[in-house]
Amino acid sequence: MPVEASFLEGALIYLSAVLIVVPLFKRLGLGAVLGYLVAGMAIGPAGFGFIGDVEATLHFSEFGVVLLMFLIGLELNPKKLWDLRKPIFGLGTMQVAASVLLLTLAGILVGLSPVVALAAAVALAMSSTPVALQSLSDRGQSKSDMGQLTFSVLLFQDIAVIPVLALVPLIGMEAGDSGGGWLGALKVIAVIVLIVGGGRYLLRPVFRYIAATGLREVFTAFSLFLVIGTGLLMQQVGISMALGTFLAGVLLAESEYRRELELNIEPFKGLLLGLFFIAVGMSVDLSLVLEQPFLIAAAVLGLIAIKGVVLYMLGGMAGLMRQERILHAILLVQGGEFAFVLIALTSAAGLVPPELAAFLVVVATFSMLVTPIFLLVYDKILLPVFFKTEEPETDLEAKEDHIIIVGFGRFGQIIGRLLISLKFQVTVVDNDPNHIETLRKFGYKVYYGDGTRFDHLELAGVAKAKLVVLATDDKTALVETTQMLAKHFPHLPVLARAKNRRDLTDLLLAGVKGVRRETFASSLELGELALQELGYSAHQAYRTTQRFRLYDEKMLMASVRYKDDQKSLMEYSKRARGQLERLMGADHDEIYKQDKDW
Amino acid sequence: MSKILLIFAHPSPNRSKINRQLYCVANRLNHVATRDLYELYPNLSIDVDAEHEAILRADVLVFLFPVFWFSAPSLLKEWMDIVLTNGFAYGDGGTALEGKKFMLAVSSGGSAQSYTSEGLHGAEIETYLAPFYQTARYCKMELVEPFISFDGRSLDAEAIQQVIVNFEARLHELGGVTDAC
Repeated sequence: MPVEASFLEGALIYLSAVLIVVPLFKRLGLGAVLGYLVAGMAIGPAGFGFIGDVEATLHFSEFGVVLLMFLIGLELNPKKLWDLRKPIFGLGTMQVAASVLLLTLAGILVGLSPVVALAAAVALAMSSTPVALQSLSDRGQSKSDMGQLTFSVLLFQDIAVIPVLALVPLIGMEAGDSGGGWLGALKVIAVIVLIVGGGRYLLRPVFRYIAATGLREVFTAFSLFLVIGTGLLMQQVGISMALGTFLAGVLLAESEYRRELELNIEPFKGLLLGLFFIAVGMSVDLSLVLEQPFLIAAAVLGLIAIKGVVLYMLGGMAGLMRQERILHAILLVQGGEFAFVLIALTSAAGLVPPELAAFLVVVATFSMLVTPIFLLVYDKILLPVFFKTEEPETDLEAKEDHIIIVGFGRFGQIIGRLLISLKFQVTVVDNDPNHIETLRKFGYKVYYGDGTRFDHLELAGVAKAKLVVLATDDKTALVETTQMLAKHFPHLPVLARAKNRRDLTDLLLAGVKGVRRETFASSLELGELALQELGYSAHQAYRTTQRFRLYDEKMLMASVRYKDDQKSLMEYSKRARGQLERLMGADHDEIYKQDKDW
Repeated sequence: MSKILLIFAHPSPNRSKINRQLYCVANRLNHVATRDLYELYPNLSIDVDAEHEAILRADVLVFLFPVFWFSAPSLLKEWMDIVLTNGFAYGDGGTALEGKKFMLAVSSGGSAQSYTSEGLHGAEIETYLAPFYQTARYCKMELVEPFISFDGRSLDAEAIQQVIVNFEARLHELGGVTDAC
């Protein structure tokens, strides 16, 4: 055993390992996750042996997964979750069922008893949420169809774990204290009601009270309190902490303090997830690997082959393109943190013999280690070599002085058609694969990518662009991209679409050159038709609506000016409203007078 | 020193050989405020309040435009129609322009010769610009000798340069700026 390191010394070791290894891996293009894993192996018992108590670290850092699930929940409001019900229950069920079945058969084939084979299969069928989601967000594909599918499968696994966790003790040890069926369900409902009610009625005054103190750290403390509190509460009623906080996140997704919560939790999540990967790296039992290297390699490859095939087929059923199906399979092919939990549980219940349990843990860990390597192979070899012809973007030469349109939905298309008809060079960046297929069929030059990611914009040739038009409806993305562009290309003009007045203000402050509200112009035009119906002559209706537009825009610009000065803004609005009524009234009178005159 | 308000009307200034440059010269001068109508009002909807404010700040009003069909580009006529309103420019209490100086600065593609009784257009160019003068008179403005350049399409660079220098001198003179440097 190494010397017992104090808490701070331990922290110093973790942090130095991260500081040395992770930036190096990131720079080499190997990905942060692999960096953490290797850093863990280096400082763990198998490496230099700086840290002895791997178990405690792993346990502590699993809370990072809980925070991750909470943040994901915050991004998904109940409606979006409901929209995902089909992939979650349809494809999720299929993935788990098919993987478990095939893995069990494989286990029986290598001579395990059916029960043991089933237990091991269930443990290894689950994927690693942090590995998959971290890689997904590193690539900015969380919101793509493939990302949604990956997430749905992960979510179903989290749900599927509940009955498994409940069943294992029934077979082996005594049952937990989750209470019987009806009572348990009742408790769950009570907690959900508590969270929804609290989120709606209690959260606001508490947040406001805390905000009034002006102490940022109290805000952070409360955010953590909220997550840990709901997590423990959920665990109390028999839901896993990860799933519980995920639900809490979903329920709080509509809250106006969503952003604050996100900002406060985010750094903790990042650090703890890093710690989690380090702990996984540390827990690799290299002596076992040295004893049976071929057996372990064969088991890892077998696991990856079976799960990979299932996931690849699943991707096809979900209508993904070939390269996306491969990516989807790579992201979910590994065994995950549930494997550790389930193996520990089944081993403790006497279902799985201890030697096999240790073996399975190593297999799961190695499958996690292999995932980033597979991703690397996918990026560096598979994609460029095999999908070159299918992916025009890789050979898309960015033209001098071209115009980049980010987002090519109904809004971006009109701008694109206008510019293309005038023979401007237009490059489209969109992250909806289906969308892109259609556009390519019509001969558009489309680059598959995420407009909020600088490397994607770089690939699309932003350095040579003379104008960027942001036409997506994702406000956060719009603001982030604007800030990024303003930072890297201060002279590049950026035009943006805004959903409403508030977004318009934020975009202007972020540095866009021009911005238009997405429905304002068409509403005004319909208003103009309404005036015609009400007896205005065609031109007079046009003139009047243009006048309205002028004053509305003046008021809007003033509200941008007074953004941080509520009092002046109120005063101005009051004055402006009076002015508008007077002016529009005057216009009305004038028309009336002219009618009389002539 | 008098303040000059220069109203510029040219729908396609990138094709302009003279007007654009005259506008730019005016833009550089401290005592001249300029308003590029087609740039300010691309959809032809004029902000009357903003125009009134600009007029009230000025002592001299200058219209700068190329001759289109023996008159001004249409947005300048629209400007006159809706900015020079009853009660502001004329009629009851309409004294905003009273006593201010008014100058036309126009360039024509045609030659000076074509604007003679023997020429192609059969009359002096100022005959055709009469509506602008009468408008100014009706608003009780003081007319100043116009700044007119001919042969817009055929002048060489040197001649254009001379027109620009002359225009700048005229703006200094109008503003009462003695030291032209």
